[in-house]
Amino acid sequence: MSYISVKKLTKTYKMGEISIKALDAVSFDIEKGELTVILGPSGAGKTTILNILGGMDSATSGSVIIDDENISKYSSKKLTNYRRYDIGFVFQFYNLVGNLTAIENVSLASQICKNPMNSEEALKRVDLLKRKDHFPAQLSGGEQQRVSIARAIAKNPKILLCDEPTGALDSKTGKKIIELLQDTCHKTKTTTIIITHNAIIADIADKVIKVKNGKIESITINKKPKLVKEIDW
Amino acid sequence: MLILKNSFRKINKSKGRFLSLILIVILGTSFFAGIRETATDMIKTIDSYYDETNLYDFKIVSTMGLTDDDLKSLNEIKGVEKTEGAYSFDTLINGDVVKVSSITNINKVSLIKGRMPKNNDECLGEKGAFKIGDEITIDDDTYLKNNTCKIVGTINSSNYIYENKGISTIGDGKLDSLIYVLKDNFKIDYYTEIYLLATGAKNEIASTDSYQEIIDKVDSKLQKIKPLRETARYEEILKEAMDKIVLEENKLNSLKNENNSKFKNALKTLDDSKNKLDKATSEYNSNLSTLNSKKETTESELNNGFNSLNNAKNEFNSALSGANLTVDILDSTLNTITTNISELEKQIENADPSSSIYETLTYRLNELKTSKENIETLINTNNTLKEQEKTLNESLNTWNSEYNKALKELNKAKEEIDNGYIELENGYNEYNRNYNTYLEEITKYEDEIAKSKEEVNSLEKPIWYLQTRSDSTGYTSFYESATKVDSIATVFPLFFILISFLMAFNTMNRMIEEERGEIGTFVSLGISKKTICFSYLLYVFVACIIGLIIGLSIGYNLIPRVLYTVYSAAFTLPSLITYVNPIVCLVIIFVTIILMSLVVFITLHNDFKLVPATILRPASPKNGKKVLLEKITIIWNKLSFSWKITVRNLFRYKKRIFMTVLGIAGCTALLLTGFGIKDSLSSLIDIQFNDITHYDATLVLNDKNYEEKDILNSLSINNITEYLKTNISSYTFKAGTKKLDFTLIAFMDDNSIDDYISLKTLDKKKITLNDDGVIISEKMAELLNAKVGKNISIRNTDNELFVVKVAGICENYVSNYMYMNKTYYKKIFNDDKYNSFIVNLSNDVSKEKLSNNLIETNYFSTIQYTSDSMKTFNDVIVGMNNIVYLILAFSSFLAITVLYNLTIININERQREIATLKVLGFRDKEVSSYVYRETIILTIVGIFVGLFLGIFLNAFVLIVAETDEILFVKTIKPISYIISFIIVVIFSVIVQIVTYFILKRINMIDSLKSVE
Repeated sequence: MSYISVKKLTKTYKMGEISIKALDAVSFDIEKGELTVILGPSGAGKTTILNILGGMDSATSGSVIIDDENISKYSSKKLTNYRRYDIGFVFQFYNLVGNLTAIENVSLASQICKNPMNSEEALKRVDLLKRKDHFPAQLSGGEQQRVSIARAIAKNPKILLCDEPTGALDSKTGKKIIELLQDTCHKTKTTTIIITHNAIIADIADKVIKVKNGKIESITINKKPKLVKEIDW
Repeated sequence: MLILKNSFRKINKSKGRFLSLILIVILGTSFFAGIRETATDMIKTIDSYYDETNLYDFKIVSTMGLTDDDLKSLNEIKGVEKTEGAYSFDTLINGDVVKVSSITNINKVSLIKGRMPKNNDECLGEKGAFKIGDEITIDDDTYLKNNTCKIVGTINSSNYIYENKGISTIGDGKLDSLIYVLKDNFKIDYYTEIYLLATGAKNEIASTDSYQEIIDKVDSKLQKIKPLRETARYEEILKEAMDKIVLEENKLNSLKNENNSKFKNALKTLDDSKNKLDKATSEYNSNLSTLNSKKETTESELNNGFNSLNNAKNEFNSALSGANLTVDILDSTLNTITTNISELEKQIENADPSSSIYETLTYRLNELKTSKENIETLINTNNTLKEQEKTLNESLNTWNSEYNKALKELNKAKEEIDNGYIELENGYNEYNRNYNTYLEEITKYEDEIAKSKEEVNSLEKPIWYLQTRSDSTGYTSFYESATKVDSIATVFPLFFILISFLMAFNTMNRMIEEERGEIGTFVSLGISKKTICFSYLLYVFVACIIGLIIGLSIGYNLIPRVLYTVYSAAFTLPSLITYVNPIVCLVIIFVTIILMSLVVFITLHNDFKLVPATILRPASPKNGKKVLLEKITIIWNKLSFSWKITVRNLFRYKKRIFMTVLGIAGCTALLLTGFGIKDSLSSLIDIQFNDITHYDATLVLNDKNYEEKDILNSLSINNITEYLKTNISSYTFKAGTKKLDFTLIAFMDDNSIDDYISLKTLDKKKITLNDDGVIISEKMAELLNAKVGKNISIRNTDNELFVVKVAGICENYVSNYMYMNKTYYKKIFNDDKYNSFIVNLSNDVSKEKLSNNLIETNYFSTIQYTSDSMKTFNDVIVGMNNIVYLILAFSSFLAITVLYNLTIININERQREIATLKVLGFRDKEVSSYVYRETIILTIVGIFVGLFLGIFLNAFVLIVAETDEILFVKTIKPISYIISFIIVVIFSVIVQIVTYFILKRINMIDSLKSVE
């Protein structure tokens, strides 16, 4: 069985009398250590997948089995623990706490989990150790996102979830971030899921899941994923 | 149009914020309007009551009554609109002291039930004390024609609005209730008081400066006329008294004249009768002796006659017996003899004359003839004797009857004389009795005249007492209370509004910041700034208008009514008339709207400065900064990670810290001030009446000079062993332009005063009186700006000036006092008389009984109990306390609003951060403690700042609320700090429990959204 196994995942939002199916019986598998890109235009349902995988939202029906645990049946308390110990989250807008220094932002996350990486080590991985005492406002967007990644990997998560990690960055910085994520994934064998609408990024992934209108359009496995250097956008 | 729609949708979208904005407006305006208007309402209500009932502006009472002449001359004074003479006296009915007054036009009573009296059989009684139909009998017929009357109506009097109606000189010295009768029912020929209305005074609100100005003007004129009228009345009374004496003397003289001759005549008549009787007696005696001598001679004569008669009788009887005859047979014998003679003669004729027979016959005839002659002589003699006896007996009878008649006459005369004597004696007795009575009467008359003369000689000049409304306890207490409300109203609501405004500012500021993106969009769409402004203004206006409507209706109705109800507990007052002062009301409306609009402008202004593109972008996040504490690595390194975050967060948003701390501090300060005022008021009574002036009563002596030993004796009879002779009188001093009263207490005993009054310096060190200076109370020193060693000038009630040296300043809170010892008093006033005692009583003493007993002795005119003063003062305090409760209630409301508002803003501002934390796997408890730790710290800091500020606010409010008569204790009890602290903490806990659910509802997915 795959490390992550999503089966017939359906999510319906009720807005008054209208119900909108954001996900309609989505199924896919992701293996351990894989770098997966979930690709789709906005409104396709990729964020809903992310929310459910990230334990921020619950499924209407279907199952989400991660490392033999069906998280779709989790209570909100269990979900919190799941997020706390198993998930590393990289936000589109970094979501750093503004009045914590880079290293403190990392520690903020790592202090609450069971087996954290040393915060400095995490920063070193993202190559920001020398700026560890800077506040987010003193860092560029890319640097902030790197801190965000450091914060996510410091937890030694089972899954690294990245929500449009390059969305707020210029292409050059974005590339660097993707490179970092790819590196991290390969080096630490962390299952990494990147959600993006940017098809170019898909080339670097081990697996590309295309989503459209709440359904899986295609699942492609790259036998030879490209290196970030090789791609261009 | 769309903008309009947008505004209303905004309201709909942010109901909580909109409601809190309304609530802030309601709190601010209702509190401000309510507190401001209460005093005005109270004052206006009472003023219209006074106007309706024509409450006097002046009341004149005189020690010797007032007359129509007084009325006339008062009427001539310019500034006097109306005068009216009235009668009243105090009497005891069922042990209660009742004031019986005439129904007047000035000082009208207000009829509550029933009707006005129509005749002297009817009267009015005070509501509550009497019922319609009660029959009242007054046990004193000096004043009324008709002393029994029926209550036909119950009334209230605007002159007696306070439950403590004042003092009386009878009973227990406290006036209990009122009765009104028709003027006509009074029979005394002088008025006991004159009421006076000043021209124009009615148009002014009583107790205001403009009212006082009118009163002062008239007062100075009355002061001028006062001695003239006093003298006039004195002369009038003197003349009356003198006339009366002359009249009485005349009466006495004429009585003497009249009665002297009457008694003389009576005596003469008596003496004459006595003479007559004496004469009659002697006459009687001589008549009696004449009669008796006559009786003797007549009786001896008669006896002689009887004796010779008896002798003749005896001769006759012996002759008779010699002839063997008895008187009875004389006639028969004679007849026999005569018959025998005639027979013999016949025989002789027939017989020869010479015959021996003849001769024998003849012889026998001769013999018979001799016998016949003898018998005939005997018969004659017997007849003569009988005649003689008859004559004698007749004489005897005649004499006897004569004698008896005379004797009877004499006896009658005697009896008459005797009766005459008895009558005479009665006459004399009566005369003596009458004469003695007469003499007594004369002595009495003479005594009375002497007494009257003495009285005239000792006749003192009458004294007029000019009283204004402020001499009535109710009036003073009421205005005291109302002014207290007003003085608190000046500072407090401002502070309150300041906090409200701050909160409104905070709310609007946050709202506009949150909607920055929308504003940017509007601006970039080319919508004018004016229109955007308008959309926010509309939002604010709607909130303001709703808030104002509710706030003002609460403020103008509910608050004054509640406060008034509480205040009137100790008063008898008409129901409250609420007023809306249009100016104040408009000012509140405008200020509220302008302030709120200002909030909108100021906040929008910051955004409008920027170009649209910048507005569209989110405001750059605040720089994180190292705080000072981090430099102290020893401490910083020891802090746990979450504490580090908290510490840094605390200093991140300066505005928020400022707002939170200030908001909470403000509410805490308000609460503390509320409690502080309460503390101050309660400890005021306690300190003043238990620590400082802790004697139990003041006994004021009558003006008359009584023997000291009698007075002291009366004290010991009543078990008063602890007393101090004092001279207590009222003086005035000038503070700026104001003339203020104070009480001078001079101790006329050398005994220690410590058991009665404890004089301490402001820092509680004991001070003692010395021979060359006075000790004055703190407030007085403050008003006079007097220091120890300085001279101050004071004036007595006759406006004479005295200069005294300040030897000490003592702690004192209620009224102003000056203390001096005997020596210094003598030095200044050249007098060492005492006019009162201050005493300590044993605990079980009955005040009423004691008052009754003491007043009955006539030595004392008034008994004032410290406990009564305490009670009066307490009533004022109770009123103030209720304002405090209102302040506390509103401050609590405000505190909750502020805390809620701040927490909500805090959460809103950090929604994204919180969502992120949640995504990172922070548990609800961890998230809330992350947020709350800050709030708690800020709250606690705010509380401490507030407690600190509260000390000053409290002092400030109290200084403003202070009158010339009252000094507030400005220390706040520790418990009040604790309670204020706890209240705010409780509120913040409540608020945090409520916001916990809001925190829980924050959606993690928000963290994914772009910053807006």
